[in-house]
Amino acid sequence: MVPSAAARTVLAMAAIFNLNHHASYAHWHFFQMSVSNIIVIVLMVIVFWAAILIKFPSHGIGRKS
Amino acid sequence: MSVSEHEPPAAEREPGSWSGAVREWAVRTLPPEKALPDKQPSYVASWIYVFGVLSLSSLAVIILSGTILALKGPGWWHFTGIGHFFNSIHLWSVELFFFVMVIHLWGKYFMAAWRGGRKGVWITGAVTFLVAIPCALTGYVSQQNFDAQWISTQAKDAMNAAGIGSFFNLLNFGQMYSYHILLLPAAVVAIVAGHVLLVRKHGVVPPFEVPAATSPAGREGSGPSDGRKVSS
Repeated sequence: MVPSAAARTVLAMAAIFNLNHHASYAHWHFFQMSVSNIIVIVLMVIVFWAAILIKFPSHGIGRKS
Repeated sequence: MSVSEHEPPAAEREPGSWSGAVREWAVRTLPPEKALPDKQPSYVASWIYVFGVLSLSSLAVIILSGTILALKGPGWWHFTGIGHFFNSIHLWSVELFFFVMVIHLWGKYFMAAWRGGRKGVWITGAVTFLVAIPCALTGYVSQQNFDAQWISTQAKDAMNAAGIGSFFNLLNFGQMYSYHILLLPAAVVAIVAGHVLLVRKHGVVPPFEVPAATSPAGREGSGPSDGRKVSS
C-alpha cells in the first residue's frame, strides 16, 4: 500500500525526531536536566544575546530632531 | 494635548457622581496620549524591547486557540486532524509565551526596569510569570491522556509536600480544568492588562546612562537617554 502524502510527512518527521525512546538526561553530581530542556535554555540565551547585539532596523533613528 | 483638556469643567460634573469621579481619575492618571502613544523614545529601537509585545502576541494566540479547544472538547482535539492542529497551536504558543517572556524578564532585569517609580511594572510582570506556571501545569493535566495522568500523579506529591494538596488537588480533573480555562487565565490576563497600563503610565524604562567620556554616542551628545522620539 502506498502511504498518503500526510503519512509520508509524518514518517519523514519521525525520521528526523525519533521520540520512541526514553528521554536523554544530563547528570553531573546534583545537577540533572533533560537534554531537551538544556537545548531550550541555550536557545533562549542565544536569542537574548542576539536581541542585544543585532542592530534594529532603523526608522529615522540617528536623525537629530 | 494637556491633561486638563480631557477633564470637563467642574461645573459640568454631577455632584456625588461616582462614575464622573472615576472617569476624571482615569483620565488624570492615564491621559489618552499616554495610553495610546504614537511615538516612542529612540532607545526603544532595539530587539530587546520587542519581547514584551511578543509575549502579548503569544498570549493572544493562547487565549484564542484555548477558547476553540474549550468549545470543541477532548474528543475533538484527540481524534480529528483539525483538533490535533489546534491542540498543537495551543501547546506551542504556550512554549513560545514562556520562551519570549523569560527573555523579556532577563532583559528587564539587567536594565533594572523597576527604576523611576516602575516597581509596580516589575512586580506585575514577575507575578504574571508566577501565575502563568500553574496555568500551564493545569493545562498539562487537562489533556485527558496518559501524559496528563502521569504528570498529575507526579505533581500531586509536590503539592502535598507544600501543604496545599487539599486545596489544589491535581487528581481532581474538574478542579484542574476549571482552574485552567477560567480562574488562572483570567488572573493572567488581568495582571497583564495592569502591567501594560502601568507601562503606558510610566513609559518604557530607559537604558542606563553611559558616561560621556567612554561613549561615542555620549561624545556626540546623542546618548540613548536623550529623549529623542521616533515614530512607532
